[in-house]
Amino acid sequence: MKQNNHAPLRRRTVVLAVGAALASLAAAPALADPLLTIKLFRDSEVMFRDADMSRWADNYVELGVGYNSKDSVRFGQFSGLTDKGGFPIAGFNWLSRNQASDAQYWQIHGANLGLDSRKFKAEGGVQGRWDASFSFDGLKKSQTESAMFIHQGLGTSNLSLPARAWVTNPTTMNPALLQPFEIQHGRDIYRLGLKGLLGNEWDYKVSYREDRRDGTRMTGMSFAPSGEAAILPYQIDDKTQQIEAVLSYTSKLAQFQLGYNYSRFSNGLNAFTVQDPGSALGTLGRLSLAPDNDHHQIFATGAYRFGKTTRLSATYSYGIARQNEAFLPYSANGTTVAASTTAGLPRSSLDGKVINTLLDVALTTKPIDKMNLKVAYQYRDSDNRTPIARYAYIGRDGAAGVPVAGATIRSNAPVSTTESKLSLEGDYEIAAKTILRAGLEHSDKKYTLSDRTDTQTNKLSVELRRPISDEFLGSVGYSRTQRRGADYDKNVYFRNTYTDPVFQAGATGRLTNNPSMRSFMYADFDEDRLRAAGNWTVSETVSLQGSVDGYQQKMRGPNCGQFSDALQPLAVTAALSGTCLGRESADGGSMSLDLQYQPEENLTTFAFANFSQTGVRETGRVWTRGNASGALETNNWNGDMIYRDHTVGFGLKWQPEEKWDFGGTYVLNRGTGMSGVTTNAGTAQPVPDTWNRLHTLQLFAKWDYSKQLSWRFNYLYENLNSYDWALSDVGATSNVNVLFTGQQAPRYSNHVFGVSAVVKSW
Amino acid sequence: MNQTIRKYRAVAAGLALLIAGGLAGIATAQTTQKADAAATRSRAESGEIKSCVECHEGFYAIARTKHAVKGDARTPEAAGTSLTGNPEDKMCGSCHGDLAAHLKTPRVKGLVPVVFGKKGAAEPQNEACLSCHQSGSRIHWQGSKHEQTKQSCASCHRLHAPKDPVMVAETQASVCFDCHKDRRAELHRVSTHPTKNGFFSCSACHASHGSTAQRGSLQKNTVNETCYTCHAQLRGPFLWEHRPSQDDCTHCHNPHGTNIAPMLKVRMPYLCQQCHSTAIGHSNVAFDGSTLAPTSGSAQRILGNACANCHMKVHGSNHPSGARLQR
Repeated sequence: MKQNNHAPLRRRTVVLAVGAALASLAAAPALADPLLTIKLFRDSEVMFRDADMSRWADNYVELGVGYNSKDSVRFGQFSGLTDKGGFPIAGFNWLSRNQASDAQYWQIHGANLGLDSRKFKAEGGVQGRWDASFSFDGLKKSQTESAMFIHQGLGTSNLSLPARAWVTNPTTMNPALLQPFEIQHGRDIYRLGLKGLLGNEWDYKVSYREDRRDGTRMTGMSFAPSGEAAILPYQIDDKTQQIEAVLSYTSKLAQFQLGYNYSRFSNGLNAFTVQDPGSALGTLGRLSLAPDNDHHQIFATGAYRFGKTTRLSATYSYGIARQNEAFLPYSANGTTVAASTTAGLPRSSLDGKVINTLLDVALTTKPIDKMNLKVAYQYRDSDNRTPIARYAYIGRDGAAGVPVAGATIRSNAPVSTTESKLSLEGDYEIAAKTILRAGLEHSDKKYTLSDRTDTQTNKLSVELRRPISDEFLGSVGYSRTQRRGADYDKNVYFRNTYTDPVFQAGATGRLTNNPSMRSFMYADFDEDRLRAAGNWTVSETVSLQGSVDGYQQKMRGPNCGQFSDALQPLAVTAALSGTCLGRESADGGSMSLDLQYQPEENLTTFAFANFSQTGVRETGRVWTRGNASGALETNNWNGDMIYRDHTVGFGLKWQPEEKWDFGGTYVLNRGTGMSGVTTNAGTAQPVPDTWNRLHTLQLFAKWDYSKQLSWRFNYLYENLNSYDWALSDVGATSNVNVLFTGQQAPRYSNHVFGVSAVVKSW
Repeated sequence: MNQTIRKYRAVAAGLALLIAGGLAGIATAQTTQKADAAATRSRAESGEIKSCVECHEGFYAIARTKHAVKGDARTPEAAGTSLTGNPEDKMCGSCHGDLAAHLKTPRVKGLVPVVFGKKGAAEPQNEACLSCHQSGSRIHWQGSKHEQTKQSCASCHRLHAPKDPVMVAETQASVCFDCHKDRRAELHRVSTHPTKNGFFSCSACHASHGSTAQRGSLQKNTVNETCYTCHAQLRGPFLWEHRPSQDDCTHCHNPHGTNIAPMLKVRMPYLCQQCHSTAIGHSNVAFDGSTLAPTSGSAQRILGNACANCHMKVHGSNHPSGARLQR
């Protein structure tokens, strides 16, 4: 593994952050509340706890201009500000509320109206009787501009080739055929809402939401007969509609809700069809796109208070998720491929159905003055009633000569799960403001058609919160989670879907799937977590918060290298070492330190630093099908994947005099990903680190020219630099098997300026 | 190199401005607020104070809130009783309790029955709020994580402000980050939801007042149900399911943000190799540095989209031949 050699930069960053924090600490009195920044600079709002809310409470119209210094799709990933040049700044808020008598109100609000990502909302009604609302959110998601493609029809769901694109593989392709294409899509969200009262104790709420998406995203795709793959842009054109209706009853002792949720996804496209760039025959490849589906759910929630301190609540929900989109044929190539004409579909569509049921009952009580208890039971059932049928497995549309029996027949394997969970939690005030909390949880989960038939998980947690002094509150907590379960049968899925060649007469090969693999979502594990936190109010103007936490998870089999499967050939059993494969362990932790300093009401400063690390250790073994020797492979391997993040930030808001506001924030995220792979043979070569540095600096100022007119000035600098060995310097035509895009790890450096006038009043 | 220098110059210039701002604050220090406070105390002692807002002037922004609408019979303004005889004070006692003793001797501490914020105990604060607001999502407040950790309503909500920051998508996160520092750091990573752009608030997924979700106080019953609110295209049920995707999106994704797009916890192919080691195919390969050369025989499985170069249907496939999530 390549070591991280950026310590000097890290030190500089920390020194920078601490220095700025100290400088802020040295600052004193008399500043003001924050400004109304243009909406593009939302990061400012996220960073400041005491964000200025006048943008949502005052009546104003804001108009101005901004300038973006560079074209960058990635910079404008969510704002829509992808192009160099000027852009309009526009927004408004208009609230009319009759506080005195009839409670009528209405409000309209618009933000970022000059950008592709923008918002509008209108609401009104009579408070205490009814409210109606409509909103629109337009959101742009931009991925990259550095990708290039050879196909024609980019942006549609049918891509064709100008000519046979390569001779034998992508490396023989003429690079001049590559054309750049920006990958981005938009999401428009429309919401309608109506709620009101039905007397003193009943109320209702009805809402409708519709999401429309269009544009492109990237996908991989493999082809036959060329046997090659390519990364391509596929078209998005879909809609999601959601309805919620809730009837509620509320009294002092009891509350109750009865509701219905409906969600429907409709895809305007069902397939993405592409000419095999390596086929002289113009063979097609085709991907199925997300199928139409819907989900209905009814739910009832209620609670009742017994006496002053005991409360019983219960929730029941019943939902049906369905999907019945017509299947695509096995092949897009019709009679050009023999297999596609000989293998008939067992069904024309899936008729998939999953019934989800939830029952949750909880009792909370206060048996004695200083104690709180909660006991809860939860039952979850996901009953997958999708019909099972046998389908021909034809790897790619152009694959020819595929038999329709034996190893190429697959049955689908819809998984059902049932989980019962019982938990007991409580806290006790063992001394003044010193609270001891503890919890126990037992979960029993059952699966069908999965690696295990059932697992049991137990969790114990304890936490102590104690004031060290009037100014310092500390807490420390620990939890241990343990999962155990039935014997592991890794191949149940395969056995239920087709007959592995290893079971065929005379076969001496090995199972398709290594039986020592322990998928972490099923495997036994022990997990320990420790957390400590402190909150120190140094003075009325200074506070410090710090926390540290860590966890370690170790997977534990069970019975790796053994079979519970009586059908298993002995030759295979002998080949197993007893070592579990897959995730072997996971660990991680984070440290965080925050400083807030507010010497006066008009000055807010903060600084923070956060370090986090997560790691996963994996074990693998080369598993060669057809190797009948029974000997262990010699080049077993381990992988240690470690991800480190440093995030530092600081900022201030300041009003030096009545008419002026200033402020700014700076945040640096520095991430490093290390992938260390070692083999028993000792021949592994190091994998370079991946890394990114994201700097965000924002400065803003406001000048109140008069009570009705303010001027706002904004500056945003964002710089992203990154290295990713999967993308960086990987040419589109550099590999013999995959036509890449030439997409590079994201990099940009953008300056954005904005000036706007805000006219207030009404 | 020049680009790096320019970058740090820009940062340094920004820092200089920030620090200059802080230092300038020293020079403009004012003491007028202290003088005002002394004057108010004097008036209280002489019995001149007739209204809450005479001392608590900054808090009267509540008059612009929904709580102050007289036409709504449920509000403190409509239902409350003025303790001072001043109609402006009608709503104060509704939440703070009987303030008569406090009005007589405002300098004596401990006479306000319900003190909101960090100075007061959480339970009486929450009782005051829940006496009207136990409905809706607050049905699950008792026993919720925030209730168990002794958070009060005022820990997150600002009742006197004309607009409560935690109720606005753009500003909500700043409130949550008061405690959830790790989440704030994650939000500044390279691959995130658009929270910083104001389009994705914490409450889009999380029910801060408690819920029946399996974990994480989510808005819906499960992680996946919550994700399907915006990503319904992944709901299926598919003909060929991918178990971890069907079970829990967070097996692979960290929805708060990572530096591995799209919000992955571990890079592919190592992400996949946590569960896959097959003889047919290639998921058992030790992807070391030698496989990164584009001419390597394994490069097509680690470069670009790695495993997803071919097995792109990682959330499930509905193609009749999609058993290996390739179609």
